[in-house]
Amino acid sequence: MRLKKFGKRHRRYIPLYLMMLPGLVYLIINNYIPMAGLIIAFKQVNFRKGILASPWAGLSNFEYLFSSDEAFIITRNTILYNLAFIVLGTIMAVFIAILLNEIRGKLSKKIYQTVILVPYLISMVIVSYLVNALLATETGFVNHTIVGALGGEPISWYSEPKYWPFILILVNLWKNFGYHSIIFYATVVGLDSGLYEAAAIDGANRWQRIYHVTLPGLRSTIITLSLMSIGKIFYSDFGLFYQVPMNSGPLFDVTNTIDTYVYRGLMQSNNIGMSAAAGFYQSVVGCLVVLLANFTVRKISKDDALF
Amino acid sequence: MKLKKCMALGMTVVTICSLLAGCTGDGETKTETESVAASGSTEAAGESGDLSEYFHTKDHYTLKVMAMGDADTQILEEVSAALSEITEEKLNCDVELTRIGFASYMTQLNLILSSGDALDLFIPMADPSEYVQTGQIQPITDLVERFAPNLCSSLEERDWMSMIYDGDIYGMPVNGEKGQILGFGMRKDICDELGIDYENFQSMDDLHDALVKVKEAHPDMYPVVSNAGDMFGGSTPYIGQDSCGDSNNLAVLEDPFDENGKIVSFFETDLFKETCERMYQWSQEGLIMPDASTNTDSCNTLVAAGKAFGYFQHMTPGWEIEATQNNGGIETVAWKYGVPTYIGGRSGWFVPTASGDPERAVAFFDLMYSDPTVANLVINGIEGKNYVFVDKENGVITFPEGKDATTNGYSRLEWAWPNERLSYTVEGLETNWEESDQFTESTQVPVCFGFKFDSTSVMNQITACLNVYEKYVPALLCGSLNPDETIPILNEEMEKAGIQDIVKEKQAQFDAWKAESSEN
Repeated sequence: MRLKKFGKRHRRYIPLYLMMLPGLVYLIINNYIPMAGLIIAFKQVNFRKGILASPWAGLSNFEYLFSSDEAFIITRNTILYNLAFIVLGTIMAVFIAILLNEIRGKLSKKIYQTVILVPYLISMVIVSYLVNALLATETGFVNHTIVGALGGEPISWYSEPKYWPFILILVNLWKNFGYHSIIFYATVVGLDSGLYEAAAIDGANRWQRIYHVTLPGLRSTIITLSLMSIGKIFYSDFGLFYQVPMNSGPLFDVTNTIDTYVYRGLMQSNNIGMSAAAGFYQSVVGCLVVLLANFTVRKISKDDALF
Repeated sequence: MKLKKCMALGMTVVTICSLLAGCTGDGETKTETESVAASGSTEAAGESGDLSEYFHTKDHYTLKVMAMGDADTQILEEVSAALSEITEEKLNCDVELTRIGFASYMTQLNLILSSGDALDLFIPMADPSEYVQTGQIQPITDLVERFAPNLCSSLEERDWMSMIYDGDIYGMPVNGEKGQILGFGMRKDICDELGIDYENFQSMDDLHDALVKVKEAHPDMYPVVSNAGDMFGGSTPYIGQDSCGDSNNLAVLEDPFDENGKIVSFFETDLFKETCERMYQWSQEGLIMPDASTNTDSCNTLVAAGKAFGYFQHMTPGWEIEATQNNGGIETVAWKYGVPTYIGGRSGWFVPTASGDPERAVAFFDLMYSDPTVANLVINGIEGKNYVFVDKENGVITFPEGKDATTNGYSRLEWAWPNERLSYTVEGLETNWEESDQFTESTQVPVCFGFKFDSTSVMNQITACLNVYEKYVPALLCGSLNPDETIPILNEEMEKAGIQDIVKEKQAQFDAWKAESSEN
């Protein structure tokens, strides 16, 4: 009886469920089934026996990950870089979005929008060679032209770790600011123009209008986007950290993140158990971070929370 | 698409016919040098008939084979098609050949082996003991005798030693050079121009003086370059030590020939320290290319492009010939130093666990090992496209007009194939196998020859150490880092990563192995 009622009530949703189906199937195949692979983190994999029949390794895969400095370094790098990207990236993107909004000429506005989006569309591999064109020790633009003109000694960029935190942040900003600006700009455009007019009538100058109208209007977009980035704070942009430093050994201390560590463990040392352990650690802590971030936001402002 | 395929097939049929014709031709004249291989194949003719019958009772199969070196996709398809023509009849299977360049070979191979993709036969870049421990390759003890009769009949016992793990045969050794020596290869024209007497160098200091001269005379040229980021060879940088039972170079024998040698951490040896110091000094003097450790070009590309004078490499007899060929025809000579070392059977071909048909894989290896047509197809590619005959009778070839070894579309890495002794020789670059055999006679056999290190119990220490290794060692050996500052840090991090556990474990296994082998 009850089931019938349920069926009736939900019948009209059937087309919607059907539309959801492909996405759901994809999600299950791509995101849920591979989770079974987490078991590898606790195994000493032997291909001849297969994953399930391989002997259990207990926590020994984790033990070595954490007993070396490696775990600390990759975690530190992943989190600090991502924090820097989120904070600086947001400030920069909001700033550019506001500037875009102040541009009056229609044509120039279109041109700027397009131009700032271009870096976002370039593949990281190409970016890495653009960076290399700047930083190559002998032929690079920086050493060849700038350092040369200032009379300094050429710097071998790819073996000096101290410069790389700045270089990586700069590259990331350059690559992503356009895309994020466009998102913020879309919100700015959507703000009620009546608010601006009212503020202008009340005698607010341009700065005051930006501070009191535009920024509050952007608040929920900023929170949502930051929250989504924080959710991914345990994941790093593989291309940025692997390709851009050209996989240079001396830079590992400042360029190794969890993702590049897993990749190297798998590809170079061929140690699947330890790679899986690092991946396991990433998933679990990453999940906790999402929950925590959402919890915090919910405490501060319930409407902006994701769930 | 279809039309193209038909044409390709037609072409390959034509080329096969011409190849076959070529082979019967030189078979008559080359009998002396190749009597061993030839007699092997005639003897086995009866048996291979049985094998063919046996395989024809089984389902048709496609063998996937992977080898080192660059090759154009289209040429690979043609070579595969030509091979399939032959294997269709003999083994009732097709062959699909893949080749991948050095720079990404190891990564690609690891990816294929760990993902369980179909692969039946491959040659690894370094000692495959890790693959044995993770079960990524399978033992073929029971298969070799039946399915690789030609290989078995031509091998010495010690050639098998490197292929045996835990009493099982895992690999099939290639028939090529059996000795190696350290060396520095360089451009002959520049040596002549500057009066560099490379044959009579006494020490590294002589080489250093020569490099300084080169830098003065040719400031636009790097005196020493790395090979895609590696100064002394890739996964096994070899500066005179012996990695002893594996190829990690973590726990090593500093002197490979010292009967009483103890296993030590490679990074605490004087050999390592001296080498790094020398490289750092050279790098400071501008003798080594900048960014050597992140350089992605091969040393051959750099020499061929006129940007490099020389590079370090492990050498075998006839190395100069091969190097000249790889350097785009620029004549290359070498100064060889160190002790000639026996490495017989060190490189071989293996069958992954994921292989669907290990019997055919072994049989196909035997075919590449004993059949001149097949050997030449895989080594030299397609006649008319990758090479042309100069002297068909004697099996002398050259590259098609306007092409050289780097641009002919199918790189010739004869030593990475099962039997380079069956290959045609390139004009002007004939390998002298007698000289090679003499060299093999002169080599010393390292004390740990045949010892295999079972790293299962220290696997995680090894991974941790290799991470540290990647961080510092390639850059140190390229002279990019100051050894006075870096080596202490390196050793400290190695200690933390557990290198002493590896040293201890290897020493214990090595002692046990020595005791066992002295009993026999």
